[in-house]
Amino acid sequence: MPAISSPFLCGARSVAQIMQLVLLACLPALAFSTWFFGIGLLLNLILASLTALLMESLVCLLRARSITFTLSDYSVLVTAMLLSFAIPHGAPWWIPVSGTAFAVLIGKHVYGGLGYNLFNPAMVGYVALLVSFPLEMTAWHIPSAARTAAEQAAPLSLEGMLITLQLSFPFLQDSIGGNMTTGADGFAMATPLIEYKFAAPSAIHRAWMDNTSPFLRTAFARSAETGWEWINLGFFAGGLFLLWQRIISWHIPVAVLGSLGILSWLFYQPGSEAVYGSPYLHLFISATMIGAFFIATDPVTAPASPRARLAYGCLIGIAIYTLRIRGNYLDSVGFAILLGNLFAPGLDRLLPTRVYGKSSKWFPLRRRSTP
Amino acid sequence: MSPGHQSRRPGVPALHRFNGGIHPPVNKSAALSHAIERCVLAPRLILPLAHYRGEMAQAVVKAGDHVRRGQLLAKAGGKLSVNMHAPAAGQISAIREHSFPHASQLPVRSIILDTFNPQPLGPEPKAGGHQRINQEQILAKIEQAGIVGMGGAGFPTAAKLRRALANGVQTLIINAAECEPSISADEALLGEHAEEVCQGIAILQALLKPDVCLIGIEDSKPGAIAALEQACCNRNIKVVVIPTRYPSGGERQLIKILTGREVPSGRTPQDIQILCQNVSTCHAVYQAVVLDQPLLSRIVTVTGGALQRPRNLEVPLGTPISLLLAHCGLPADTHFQLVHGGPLMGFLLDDVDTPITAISNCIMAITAREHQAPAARRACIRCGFCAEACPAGLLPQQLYFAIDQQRHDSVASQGLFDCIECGACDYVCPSNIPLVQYYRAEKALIQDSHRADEQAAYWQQRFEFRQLRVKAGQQKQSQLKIQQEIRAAVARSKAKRAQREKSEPQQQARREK
Repeated sequence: MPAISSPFLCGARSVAQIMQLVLLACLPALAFSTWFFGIGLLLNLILASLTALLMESLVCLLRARSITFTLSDYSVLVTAMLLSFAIPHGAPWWIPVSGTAFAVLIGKHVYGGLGYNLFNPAMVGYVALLVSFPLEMTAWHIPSAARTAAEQAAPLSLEGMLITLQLSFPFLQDSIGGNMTTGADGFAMATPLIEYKFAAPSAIHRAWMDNTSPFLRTAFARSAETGWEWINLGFFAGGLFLLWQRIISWHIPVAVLGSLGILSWLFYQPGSEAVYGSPYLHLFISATMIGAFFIATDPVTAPASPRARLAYGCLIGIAIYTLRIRGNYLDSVGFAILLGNLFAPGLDRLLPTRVYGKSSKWFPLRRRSTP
Repeated sequence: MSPGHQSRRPGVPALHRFNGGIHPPVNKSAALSHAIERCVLAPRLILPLAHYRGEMAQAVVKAGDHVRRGQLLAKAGGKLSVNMHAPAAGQISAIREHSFPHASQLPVRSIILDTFNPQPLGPEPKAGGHQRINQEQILAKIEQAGIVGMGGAGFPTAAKLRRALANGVQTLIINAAECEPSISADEALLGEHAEEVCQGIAILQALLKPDVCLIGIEDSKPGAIAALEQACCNRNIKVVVIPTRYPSGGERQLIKILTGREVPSGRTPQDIQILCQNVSTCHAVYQAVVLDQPLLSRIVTVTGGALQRPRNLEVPLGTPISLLLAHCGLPADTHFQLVHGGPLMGFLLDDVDTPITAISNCIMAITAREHQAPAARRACIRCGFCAEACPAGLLPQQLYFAIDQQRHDSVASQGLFDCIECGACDYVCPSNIPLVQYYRAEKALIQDSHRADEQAAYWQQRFEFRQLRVKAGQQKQSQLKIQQEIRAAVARSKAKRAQREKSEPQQQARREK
């Protein structure tokens, strides 16, 4: 049906193209994760994507909507992608499946589908998993993380892949190559933040506390520690790509990273026992980058006015820091973003754009100019 | 010195930015690569008596009259109405309803003029000295000529100038930005008649005596810029080259770019001592004041994928659009849609015989391929692209939600009436939501309900007044009755006393007996 009134031009990317670009921007981090930690993330991603597509099709059937039309917006795949980054590698198969199902059904379609959800679906799924299955959601099984060099299995070797596969699908342990996941202790790798929080005097921790940039020294060591940094750099690069493509505006990432960076810099006391973690730790060795560039910027659940976006980003940054320091959970990006989502609609009303020709307190209209 | 340097002569103010804006493909070269051509005279011209603002003009001719070129056909029917003249010699065949270039496509009363072929030779227009005439005479000439704003709004120029004179003019801004894609009528006019346009501007300067006079023109028009700078070099007119960004040619946006000031919401530029005029209008002013020639023709860009030879044409007002399409090579059996105006702010027309009016700067015949049916609409994902594009600083998605949820008060307070309907939000929307359609409909709805409210208030007032009147009448009547009764009582008691006084001497006399 042709338009009945102007404009007769359409120059924008479609929703599907936007979502495809977001998926594309996730690829560097996906590649780094696979390189450093093996195929755990890929398994999560496959499981999550299949579940997401299935669940959305189911909802479309129930709501009598066109399945192809709804699926063709690619948004459900973005949800699956972001959620699978938040799920530990080698988590049993039902973790990504149940989490994605929850995200798509409760996080998205209960509200009415794309565009109507109040909370970011991926984070709803993640938080639901975190509070329901704390054990499975905090054990990052990584083949290369065995403490002794002799036990290490290269993440992308056949052995490493089999281990991850068996961890994801426990029923395969007897059928393929015998049970290789014995000595699971050796494979359990906590994220650096877990180390930081619960094993304070560990070597990694000390290294991070003493050197603001251990990355430069160990960047190419292909160890679990540098892996996290590379993944964060991957998200950073993907975020810059999204900025360059004007899919996201700079306001939210800058506000999140800025407020978090300033807070952690203010409270960081090197060498002191009352440690809150260095700015480097907060920005680069946790889920901060994916949160700031990919999840907080989710258009549906973020405000639209630039000033509201800045406030929203600062709110999330502060929440990330506070919850990380004082909260009970290991990382707080998910909670902080859900908290921010709550305020997004209100912020748009509270801090709208200034309308042309209308005076406001902060932007008074210019009086007569002198010629 | 390069033209680029000349554009930054001392005294040219620093440029400012307006919020938002978009960069659609310009699409102007097809029509611009050829000189302006004259459209053949149509055998039948249609001259609508209606205007875009104000009252209908009053016809002063009747069917059967012979008229010569430039003769007054209808005189202004009110303050915001303008005179109309015969674009060619001919005979009035009828005064009846005819299609009119308006989004509503409602027919209006029009003078139908059958032109003579060949045209009788009239006296050559000759340049008279306008320097010797005073302000009032200039204004009278502009008013006589029936000039309206030719940039699109169609506001009577004389009325605008009077208003500006009353307020005083600090900055005179000439709008040569022509930011909308595909339209190149002003650019073509400047390329060939820059000197005449500048003479028109000089007349406005003489009339308004502004402190500064600026011409705003987008940097995508090097030819027009060069012509303007050549024409302006000995005049007190500054050519300001501005970045190409739609809608820089919007009156309010151009004022912001050139002066850094914003026209307060709900006010006009005249209120802040700024006057904006379009270059075509300036050309018409030149013709009216110097050549004593009323507004008889304008330059129209005729373009679109359905046409073989897109051109800028000089067209007598009232020419049916079908003639323009034929001139520009419309193959038979082509399926096309007719758009009056540009691709972002224009409107569709069904009748190809709709006449050209003073505001018709562009006619587009677009094919299905060019104007693809927009992909199916999705729900708003609140991406905020619309807010980034909005030149009025609105939050289009919030407006859309408020309209969708019928929160009419909220819509108005969020600035719906500051929307200039430029279409930028629509252009960038990834969900293909026809936002501008929503705003137009909601504006009409709110204005309608205001009108209904006003009318209701008026009738209520009348009703209450009547109640008061009736009550007052009743009171008056009852007062009258009381007064009558009092008067009657007084009369009675007077009569009694008189009787008593009459009878008293008799009684006394009786007692004395």
